[in-house]
Amino acid sequence: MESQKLLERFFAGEISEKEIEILKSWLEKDPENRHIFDRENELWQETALYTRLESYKTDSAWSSISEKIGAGGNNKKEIAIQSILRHRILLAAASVALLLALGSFSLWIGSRISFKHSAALPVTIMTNDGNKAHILLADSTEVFLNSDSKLEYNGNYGIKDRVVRLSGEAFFDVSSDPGKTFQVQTDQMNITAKGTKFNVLSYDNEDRIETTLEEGEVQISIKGMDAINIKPGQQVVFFAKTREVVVRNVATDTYTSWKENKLRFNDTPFEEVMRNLSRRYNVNIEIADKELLSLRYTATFIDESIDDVMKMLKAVSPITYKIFNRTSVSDKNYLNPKIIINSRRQSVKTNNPKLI
Amino acid sequence: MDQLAVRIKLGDIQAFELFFRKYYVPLCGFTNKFLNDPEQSKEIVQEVFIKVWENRKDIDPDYPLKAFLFKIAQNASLNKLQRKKVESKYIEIYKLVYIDHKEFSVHESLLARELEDNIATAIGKLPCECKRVFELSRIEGLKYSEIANVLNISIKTVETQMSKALRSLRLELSEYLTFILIVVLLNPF
Repeated sequence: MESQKLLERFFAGEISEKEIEILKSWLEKDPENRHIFDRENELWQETALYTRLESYKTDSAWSSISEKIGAGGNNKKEIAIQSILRHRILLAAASVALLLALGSFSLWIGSRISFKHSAALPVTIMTNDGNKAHILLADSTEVFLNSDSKLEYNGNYGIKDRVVRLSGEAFFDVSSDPGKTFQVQTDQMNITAKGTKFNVLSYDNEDRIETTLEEGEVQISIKGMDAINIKPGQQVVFFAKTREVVVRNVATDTYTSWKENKLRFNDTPFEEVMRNLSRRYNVNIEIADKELLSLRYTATFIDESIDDVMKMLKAVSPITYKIFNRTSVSDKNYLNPKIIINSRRQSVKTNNPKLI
Repeated sequence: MDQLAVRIKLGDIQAFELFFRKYYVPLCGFTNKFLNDPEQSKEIVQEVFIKVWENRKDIDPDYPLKAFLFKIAQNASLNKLQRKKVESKYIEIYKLVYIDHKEFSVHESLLARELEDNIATAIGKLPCECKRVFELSRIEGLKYSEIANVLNISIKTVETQMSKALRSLRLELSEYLTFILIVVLLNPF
């Protein structure tokens, strides 16, 4: 076992000049000896990994490498969003105590929740991708909150006034109360109503804010513009970038049927369809070929799985797609399912065996 | 087919980050085995990852991406080692084993298998003084004489305890290797 000692002294940096000559001739003598050296070397390195030597810092290594490949900023943002989400869920859970994470529609339907509030504390209700909520306010006004949306109101809602703040999408069935108007506030648009049914869409990641009136009357005010009154069957769309306002007649159920778990598209641009699917099914969708953006869809999906929806879209338009299932990253991290969409003639070849 | 490989091939940076985080440290250890220089190993490993990303279009999802990664790292390290001047007897030994005789394939590498948990368990099982000596050497990077000083024991004892620790770890690893062999035998295809 003299050689073993020599190897240990070598790796520990304790070997003498004389011993190193002995080690050298021992290594030259037999390939088996060199394999022993290699194994001992691996063991030595392996134990260093366990101790995670200071010099191998994965985080800083990743930031330096992601800078070099031009991915730095993007990536940080993703992580930030994830942690904010977690935080938001906690907040909402604390203030409402229930109501969230209503995974599927059947659950959602089965969990109509009402609650009374005593204190004047603000209430926040939040939904994630893939979830919806049904809220019954103190005055019997019903709110259907779509995925990835947030509804806020003060604890004294209904006592002096009826004001809620929305980001995302919601359908309101406002109970009639002649004394107090009902108001939905969004970033750019306020909607005032008495007893009505209407839908408001105001997602941060969409350029437009949209109010669709099903019944009754609403008044829409946009900063710096005259108030607009619309009739049932009409829709107001405000494009934030160009500050353009469009009032048009629409089939309202195209815009409100999401609350019955239907997805309706009516000559809807491709990108918007994909954003809808992404929110509804909690998947990341990547459009690989920008030429597809000119496509438009008219379709209704009722309770279909995302696989079926994609199959149907593929059947009626020149697209191909690939679904990647939820992947576990490490112990507690997961990548969302992802769908990459390409145009059919430029499908991606994945079987191209070639080494770098 | 390796889903992660497909995603990286298609330019999914998140998938690539995942891949990086999983293999960065083991790959540094693997590279350091040839170079015995953590700084250089780190540089090489980063270059290897950048190379994989830049050539992602050529990834073959049917070939294990990890083996591919280790293979590129091995080539890069051996190139580096080859170019090194023999300044010390140490470099001479590494060159003798890895350059003069190219007998080692990535498949034989323990580092290319996931042994970290086993190592952690094995180190946890070491008797107290033995563990202390081992950690002072491997974590704190102390010389035998310094360890002897700190623990107030003889250099001879330090050496004995180190041997004991390594013997025990070797034993744990050999059990692990036997296990792999059994799995392979049970699932020949």
